Amino acid sequence: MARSALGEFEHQILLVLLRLGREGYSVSIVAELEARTGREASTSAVYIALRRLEKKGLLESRLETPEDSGEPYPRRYFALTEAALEPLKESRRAFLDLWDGLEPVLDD
Amino acid sequence: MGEPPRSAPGAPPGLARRLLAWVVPAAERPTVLGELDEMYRARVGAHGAAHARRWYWRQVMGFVVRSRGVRRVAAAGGGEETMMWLGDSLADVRHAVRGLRARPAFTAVALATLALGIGANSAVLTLANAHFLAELPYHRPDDLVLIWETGRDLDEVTTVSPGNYLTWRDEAASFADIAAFNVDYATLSGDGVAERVSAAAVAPHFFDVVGVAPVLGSGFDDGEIRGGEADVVLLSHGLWTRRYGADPAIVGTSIRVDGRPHRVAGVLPADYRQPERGLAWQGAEVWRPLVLDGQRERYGARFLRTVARLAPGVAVGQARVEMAGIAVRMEEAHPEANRGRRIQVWTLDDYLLGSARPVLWLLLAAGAAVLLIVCANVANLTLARGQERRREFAVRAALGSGRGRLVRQVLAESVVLALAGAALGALLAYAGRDLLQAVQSRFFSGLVAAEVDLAVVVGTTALALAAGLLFGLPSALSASATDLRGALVEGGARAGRRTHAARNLLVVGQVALATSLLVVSLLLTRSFAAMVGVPPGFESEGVLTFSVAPPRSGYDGREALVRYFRDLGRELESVPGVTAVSMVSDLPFTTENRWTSVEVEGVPWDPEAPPTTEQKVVLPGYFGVMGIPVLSGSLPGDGWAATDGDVPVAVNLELAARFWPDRDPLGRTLTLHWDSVRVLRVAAVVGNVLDDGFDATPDPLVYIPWGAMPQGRMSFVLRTAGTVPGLAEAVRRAVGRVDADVPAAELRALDALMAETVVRPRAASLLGATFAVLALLVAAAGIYGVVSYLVQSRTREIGIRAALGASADQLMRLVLGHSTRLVTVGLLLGVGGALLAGRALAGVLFGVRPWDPPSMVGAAAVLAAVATAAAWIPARRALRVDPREALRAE
Repeated sequence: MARSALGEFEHQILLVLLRLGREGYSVSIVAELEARTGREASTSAVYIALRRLEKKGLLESRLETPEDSGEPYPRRYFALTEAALEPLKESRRAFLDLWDGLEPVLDD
Repeated sequence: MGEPPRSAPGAPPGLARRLLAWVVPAAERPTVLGELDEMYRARVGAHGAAHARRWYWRQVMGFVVRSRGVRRVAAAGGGEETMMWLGDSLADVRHAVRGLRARPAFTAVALATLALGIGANSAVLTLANAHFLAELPYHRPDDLVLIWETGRDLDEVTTVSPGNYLTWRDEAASFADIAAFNVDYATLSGDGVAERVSAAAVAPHFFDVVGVAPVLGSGFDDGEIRGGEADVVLLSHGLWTRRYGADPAIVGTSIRVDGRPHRVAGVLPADYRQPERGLAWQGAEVWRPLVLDGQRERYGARFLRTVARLAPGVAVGQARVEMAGIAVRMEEAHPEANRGRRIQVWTLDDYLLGSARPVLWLLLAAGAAVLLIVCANVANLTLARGQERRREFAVRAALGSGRGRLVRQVLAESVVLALAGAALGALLAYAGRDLLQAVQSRFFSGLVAAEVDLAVVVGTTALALAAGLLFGLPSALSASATDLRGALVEGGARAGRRTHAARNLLVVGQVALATSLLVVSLLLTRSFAAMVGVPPGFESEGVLTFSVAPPRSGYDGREALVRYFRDLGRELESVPGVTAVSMVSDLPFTTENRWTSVEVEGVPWDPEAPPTTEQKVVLPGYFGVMGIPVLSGSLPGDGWAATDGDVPVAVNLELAARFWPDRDPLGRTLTLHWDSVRVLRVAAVVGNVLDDGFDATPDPLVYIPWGAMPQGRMSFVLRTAGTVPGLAEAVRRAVGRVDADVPAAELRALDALMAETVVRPRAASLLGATFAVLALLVAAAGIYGVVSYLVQSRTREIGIRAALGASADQLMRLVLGHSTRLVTVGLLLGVGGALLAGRALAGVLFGVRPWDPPSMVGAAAVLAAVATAAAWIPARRALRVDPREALRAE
């Protein structure tokens, strides 16, 4: 698959999934995203972004119905693939490069 | 966003959840729904139920807005979206075709009704296309108008006097130019069999005004014609091909027209038609120049039609305003001729095609109603199939087909069916194109051809697509509402009930539409019957008529004409089968009447508002041949002799009653102020005749003996002894024996002539009846289908009842009661619809009120009878149900 730059939202989701480890499914992802950004996250946007990242090969997913969840439906758990690390590093480097020397602007 | 619907605490809003389920692909549904439920519960705990509900709605709306994206990322394999869509569509079509082929009976019935419905509609569209959209055969026809005078203090239009026409041409600034024309007949002789054809005399600049150039040769040359070279003609393309073998060398040669040599100037285009409402004149075959020299001051004689082209940038409304002013000035300048007369400006389109439009609107509406009934029928069939296919859909959904996909599949099937029906319908219309063209030229207009062209094909296809969606929608909705577990486990009784209600509704709609159509058709038929049922005042049956016009060149003067007519009379009387012969200047029902003003004895003469009467020139035998009763007195002599003193005339009852009420009209005088003053003395009173058609009222009419007002163009009336084979040919030969160069024209039965005046009402009645019968048949098929289904789905119940001892009567009542309720509701709605439609019809009806009870009751009775029959056939099956079989079935 051709390498493509990560969108900001995709970037955020990949980071959230890194934090969540193997516990990432949409409920926990949305909760973490909201806790970290302080904004309501749209579940549909999260859903689309997750599946798109999966198609790009940056995520893999599995359906599981955990015994302890008490829920009757299968959850779809997501995890980063090895391929996700390269674009994450790339995006981070690009951001930091762009910020380089601009930090004083934020001081007020 | 409004308050979400109430639902159980802890559960998200039901409506929103259903919406979400609909949007999300089936394979993802449990996970997505479940995860959102989980988040919802967390929100209820953290922020309260109201907040959570709002949040849930926002999330669902997010999924709805992003549904395309959701489907795209959820689809397995990925790839380009359009390719997927195309692939899906092709698969849908393939699947649809396979499905349809697997059920040949269903497909055949659906296709047949669709082909009928769409075929009927493409036929109507073809006619409508010709009248609403087709271009008249002139250059920029939208800028052409016809200018008419009106009758004195009347709204109806009359032809125009030369004086008025020439004044308009000088004064009116709204027009680039105005050109007069006149219509008559011409006799062609000299080369082959003599024949009389429709002809027109047109101002030399006429073809410049309408913007039509000859395809061969040239038009009329104004200079030449003024220079005295007026014996030139233009030929129609048809005449040129038929009589002169399409020989281009004809231009410049001489042919005999009305006995005199005329130079052929050119040939007009094949599609050219004279802009005239009369069907005969639209088909004019010879054009001669109209020369009005020396008629500048003739204001009283009205015999011209005028076509004008609007000046650039002038609207019809402006032209009307200007002409209204001119009418006032003309009235002041020539009060004796123009008092009370106004001017009307008609667009060519309105004048030539407008009169057919009410009938066409009617046909369009009838066609639409038939198509709706067909749609309802096919929808019903498809719904019934959908019931059978519930398991198939459920399985497919379980295997991961999205609901959208299922809906699309059902719709694909409908659209494939509709398009196939449209193709068949278009083929039907195409196969019947000659019939259609015949209907067009016979009932409507020869000016524009009814052709199955691109507009019709596009219209038909659009109709078919709309129809496909319309009848596919109920099944599509029903398929999308398929509840997985329900369909798989319990066989779906609940959804079945819902579908059943939809099917009942469709039957009610069908019955209502069919009833409305039937009422309208009965109204039209009764109106037509009322019209032709009016006694015309003469006995038309067994009367044969034709006209002759001995040319002035060979028959100059009274003696020559008398000899000709007497010879012709004797020759005709010797034809076997002819019992009596007479002649008249203008046959009734031809609207070729001549009005004249008269001074009435005992009434003071007012030259500005003189009494008027119609006049005809006859032989005294005319009344006998026609069966017009002579009420008192008689016309003396044989009618050939010139009269020196007062002219003995016959008047009709209307004239006697209007001019001399309460007095004996016999012996009283009427004075004609025509070319010279003539005194007419009433020698006989005869019965009234409907002279202007069935829907006219009798006007005052005076019959003048031929000898007092000799003329060449006369119509013969022959009373015949019933139908004699070959009589028309024998008459034609008799006319030819007297003078081979004077042919018999318009040889036809008087009945046929009268029938031609009512072609529109007849067309409306015939076509309306055709549609009504079609609607009735399709609606009957619909009722049949629903009752069959009812019997089939209640076999078990019927079996139990039969086992418990229900009688045949009770079982029939059980089954028929259902259809009777549906039909009754449909009938009531249909009669209501017909009452509404009747108001729109009022202008077309004659002698019948739109709420005519016999039509309503008749339609309801016919429909009830047909519906009962349609229900009875499948209902009998209920009686044959074997209780043991029925109980064992499930």
